[in-house]
Amino acid sequence: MKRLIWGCLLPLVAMAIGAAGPAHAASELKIGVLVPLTGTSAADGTRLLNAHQLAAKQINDAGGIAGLGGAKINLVVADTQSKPEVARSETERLISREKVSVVLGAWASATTIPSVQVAERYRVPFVVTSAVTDAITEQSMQFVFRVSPKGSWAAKDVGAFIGDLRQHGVALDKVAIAYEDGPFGQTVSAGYRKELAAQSIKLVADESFRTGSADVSTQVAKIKASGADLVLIVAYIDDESVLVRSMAAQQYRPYILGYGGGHTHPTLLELGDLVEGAFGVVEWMPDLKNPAAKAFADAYKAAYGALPLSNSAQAFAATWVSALGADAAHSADPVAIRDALRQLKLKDGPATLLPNDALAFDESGQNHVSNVMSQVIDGKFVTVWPTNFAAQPFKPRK
Amino acid sequence: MQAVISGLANGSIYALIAVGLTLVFGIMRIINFAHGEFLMIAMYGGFFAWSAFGIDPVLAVVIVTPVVMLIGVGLYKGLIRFALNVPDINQMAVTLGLSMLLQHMALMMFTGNNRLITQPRSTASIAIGPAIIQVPQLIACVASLSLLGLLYLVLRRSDLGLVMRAVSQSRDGAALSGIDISAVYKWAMAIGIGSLGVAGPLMAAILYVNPMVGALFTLKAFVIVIVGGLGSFSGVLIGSLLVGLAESIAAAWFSAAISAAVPFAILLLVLLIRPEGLMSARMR
Repeated sequence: MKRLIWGCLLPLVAMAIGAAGPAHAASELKIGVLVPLTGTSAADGTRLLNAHQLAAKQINDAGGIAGLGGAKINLVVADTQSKPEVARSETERLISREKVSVVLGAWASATTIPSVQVAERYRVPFVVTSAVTDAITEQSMQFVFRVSPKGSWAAKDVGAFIGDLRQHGVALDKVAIAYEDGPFGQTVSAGYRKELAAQSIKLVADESFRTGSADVSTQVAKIKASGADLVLIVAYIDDESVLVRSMAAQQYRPYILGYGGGHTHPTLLELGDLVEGAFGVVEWMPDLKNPAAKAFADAYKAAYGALPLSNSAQAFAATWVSALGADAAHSADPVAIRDALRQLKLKDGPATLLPNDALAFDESGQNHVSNVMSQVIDGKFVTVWPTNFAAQPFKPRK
Repeated sequence: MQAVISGLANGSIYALIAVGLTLVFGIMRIINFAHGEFLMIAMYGGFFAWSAFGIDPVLAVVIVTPVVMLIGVGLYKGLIRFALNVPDINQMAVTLGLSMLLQHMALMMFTGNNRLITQPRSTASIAIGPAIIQVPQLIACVASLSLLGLLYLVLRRSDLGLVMRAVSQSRDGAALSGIDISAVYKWAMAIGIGSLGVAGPLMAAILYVNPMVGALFTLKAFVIVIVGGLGSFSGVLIGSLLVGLAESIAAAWFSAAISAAVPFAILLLVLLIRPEGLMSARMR
């Protein structure tokens, strides 16, 4: 029995000694990557990981991190299984066992929030790649950084975009919202409502539908009757196609503006002429007028055979930013990297592929980045806003 | 007005799905949780007939229905046959497991992407007074009513129908009178699942196809079948029109969350007032 107890204790003791030993080897920079590789968001996780690996490969192929004497990046990948509790324990493992200097991740807000709390406790910087919940960078945590915009900024950018359209002579006086009645649709539509009120744009119809509805003509009939010129759609791609078809069936062709990566999805283009001219608000587009974006899109396509989606760009930027932080810190020490990340202000280079003038973190760790507007022009998604990143000017409806 | 038209259209589409479920239950006393997944398979059938061979979904019904009927027979021979004499809870586990298996196999084979059938007809519509009805919905509506009529005739007028009703009333009694129970069950599965062969391609033209699409309807079909009375035929029609109408009228007046809860509120109400379902006496 005694032997059994010792048998259990010894590895623990060994681990404790290991933990107390030299923490950060200089020959490599260990970066922890939290992605969902199994579970409901498995497909998203793979796309993110591709981008993380592409960035690491670029850095390592170019001779590693100069500030660390050419140290190579070693990505330690952990699968969150799309579950918050797993994300939390994996973060713990990455930091205490794997001794990573920075953690990146962890896709959705639900898995990101518990993970950043662990990193904060262990005083290891955590770069949030794509989670949008505003509160993540509003809790005055000292080790949290986010490259992606806050969720509520989408509504602000949509408001600004509507203002721009009106300035260009597009008659948009009445706006309607059609949203999916789940947490996603409710959150986003609440943001829209607030923003429209702030800009004193008239909201004439506010209709919700259940995801998976086979028929939304009741809602469409009400929106049509309201005479809205622009319909803000917050829906998953499958519901959006039902909605758009129903609008066409009722001979109602307003401007439409979809939301997020779900809208800028190839499935939507299958609707052909029905979605020609449709706008969408999204965090990034591969055709963004920005040299870093183009270089990333080309490299990603060459490596994986498909164009990257918005979240891949954020994962790519997060990886680069951590490497540059370690480079500036001349150290693999997490606190030194945190301090360096605070000072970082990147105006060019691969990390600047997101739509803002310079990648930098404010005192809450938030990168001030805008969303972009896409429009379906000739059956393709094209960036049309903000003007300095637009691939083409927007096309008014005929 | 629009809400009433949409509700009736939705209701008849629900009926198209629920009728197979109630038939299988009425005759075999098996609760088939995988019903929605067979709908999903039939929808993929309709989609691929259109995308690979350019077959119109309405014509695809003629091709998909026999295929799905054969799948139904295969399901009976290969799986359900063995599950007939085990306790109810095990039967449920079998069909529930089958449902998950089929979902994940579809995910592997067809990926999670949504597939759409796009035709000029997809967005055509007909005005009925102040309201409109979309042509694909109208087609599904007509198909649903004709299918229900046809099945009604089969059950009431044909020998097979007579035998089926006999088995439904008393399995042992029917067996004692020399009815081949196994053959009847086989036909019940063929027709029950086969009715989805009509629903699938028409639904694919209205909605989209993905591996999870069947599950959207399974729960609603159960509500309808229970509201109408398990195994009752006219109950399905009344139940589905009731659910369809209530949903869409609620959507017109309130928010989507409330309208989604309405079918279940009806279910509770019916269970409280008439636990055997609205029309259950008819079948007996």
